[in-house]
Amino acid sequence: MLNLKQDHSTLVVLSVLADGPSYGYAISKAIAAKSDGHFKLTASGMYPLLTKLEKQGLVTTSWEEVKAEGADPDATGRKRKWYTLSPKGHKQLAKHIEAHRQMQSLIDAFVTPASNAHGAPA
Amino acid sequence: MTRTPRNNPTPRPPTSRDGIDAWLDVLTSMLALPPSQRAQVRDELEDHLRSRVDDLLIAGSPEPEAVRTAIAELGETAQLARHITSANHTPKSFRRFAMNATFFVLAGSILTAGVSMMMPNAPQQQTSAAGQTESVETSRHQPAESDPLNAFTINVRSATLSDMFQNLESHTDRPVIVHWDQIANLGFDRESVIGIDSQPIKADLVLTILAERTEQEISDSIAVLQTDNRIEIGTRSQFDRRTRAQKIYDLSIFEDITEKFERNLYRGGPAQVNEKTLRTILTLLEGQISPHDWDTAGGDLASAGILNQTLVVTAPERVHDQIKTMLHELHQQHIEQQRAHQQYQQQSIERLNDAFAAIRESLKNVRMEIRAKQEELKRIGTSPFHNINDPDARAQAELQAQALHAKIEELKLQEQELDRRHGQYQSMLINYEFKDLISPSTQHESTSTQPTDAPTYTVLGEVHRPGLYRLPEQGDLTLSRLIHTAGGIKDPDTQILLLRNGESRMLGRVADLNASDYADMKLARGDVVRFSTHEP
Repeated sequence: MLNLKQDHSTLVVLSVLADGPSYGYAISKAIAAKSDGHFKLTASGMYPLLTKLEKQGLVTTSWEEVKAEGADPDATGRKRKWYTLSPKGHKQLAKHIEAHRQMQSLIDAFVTPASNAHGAPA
Repeated sequence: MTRTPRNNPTPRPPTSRDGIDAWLDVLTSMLALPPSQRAQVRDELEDHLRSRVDDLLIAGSPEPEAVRTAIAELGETAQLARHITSANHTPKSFRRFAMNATFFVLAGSILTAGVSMMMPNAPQQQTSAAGQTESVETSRHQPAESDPLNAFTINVRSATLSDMFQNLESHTDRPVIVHWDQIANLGFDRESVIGIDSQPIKADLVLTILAERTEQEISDSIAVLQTDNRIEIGTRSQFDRRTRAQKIYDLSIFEDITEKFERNLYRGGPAQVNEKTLRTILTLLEGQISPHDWDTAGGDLASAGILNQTLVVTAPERVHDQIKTMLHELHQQHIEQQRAHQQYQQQSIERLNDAFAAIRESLKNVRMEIRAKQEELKRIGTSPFHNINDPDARAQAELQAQALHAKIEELKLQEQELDRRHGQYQSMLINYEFKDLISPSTQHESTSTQPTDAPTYTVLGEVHRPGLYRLPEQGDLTLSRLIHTAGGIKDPDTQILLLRNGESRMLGRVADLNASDYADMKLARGDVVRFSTHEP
């Protein structure tokens, strides 16, 4: 049995990044989109989480200068922080998914369709 | 590093201040972080807000409303600032931990668990630098110089890691080598502020605190390797990698003894370990000893596999040490279990034997009674009364005879029943006895410590000490010597049965032994001799 905290936010963020590098706002949009708006990770939760992931070496970061089309080439655009899933992050994600699946099948054992007749817990 | 510019529908000149800038100013002022980090947080959140506003504008929202919405979505400003600060800064758990009064009691045990200073006393096998074998000492026994890690205290509120290591260097004449590149993997760098809210404390304690926390979160920590000629500071995984070696562990010691007997008796062959036992051992190993380091758990320091009945492990030295200890403990348990199983079997056999003896006793008694009644019947038939012409006397005699006949019938039924049960118990006993390898005997140790190829023979049945014995090193083993070794027999009428190479032979009675042709018979390895008082 894996000893990981079942933190869904981490799992969700890591799997979004597994699809490819992304930045803060895009990550939060992807999460909302993938969950049909049911799952919302607030900035208050997401940005500190991203920082933690970076510190743990699960993601690497880089800065991009974002410029508007047709803007003055000498003017400085705003800076965008990109997050990329590291090899360690990939491994960790796999661990999380495995733990999630184990938990899933454990619970499934309790809530099989026939069990309702035997007074399955509400 | 800049990428190709992306689409930005509504350009916003950075020089004009707006609601977003104002809000960002407020947030930034609430961040208890170094200026460089504050700037980064600001940049990232600005990008977030402006991207959000762009989306809202595209969706048709008027600008002031879009800005308000975007900012509101970020939540309460102070809370956001707090969360971001603590994520970037040293976590609160440090402070709690350092202030914990019981910490100093725990420190000892953490030192052993954690990594940094607890390297095994034996010189390491693997060498990293050119052919030098390193002898590693624990921080407990230090040579002439006192432990430099204990020689000074650090202002843990404001000092950086770099400060601490420089301080360390000035307290020792050995060079201090810091592997910053490795330490960076833990999320620390030269400028990392230790940031523990506490009075100044000693360096080794600081490292312990850091180790405790990072081990929990990322299964690695800062480690110190002290040798005679230098002090290295790196990560636990880095030093572990140096001591990685492959070792082979023989798991045949976990053989199932209770199965071994039958195999050796009829086919011979090496001990077999239960497949399930092997898998359980591997699972235990990877679950209990540095779980995160195994390749099966996503780590990169240790891997193990089972080959036939050996365990092949590639791992750092400290993992091997723990494996040795664990295998030893498991083996002790295994021996206990096997002994308990054998004892249970032995007890079952004893109970069977008792029941069997009781039945035999009953059978004997019933037969005696039958004989007695038959005698009585005979006496009535031949008694002088029989020929008297006294009708009363004759009638009485006939009644008696009938009663006796009836009684004898009854007894014969009992005899039949007892005989049947006698036969049943006897087969059960034979079955059990062939499975019973060891009986508690004062003459030898349990076979788990005996080499598997020692020549042995087995004595079963009605002797005082049935069991497994080693063939004598001097002289031949005759039946009389065997009987003596097994403590003698209980009944001279006992029959001797020899089981050799899968074939059984009834030899005869013990009473007739000396005069028989099997008196000089030499017993061999693997023979089973069974003594029984079963009446043919």
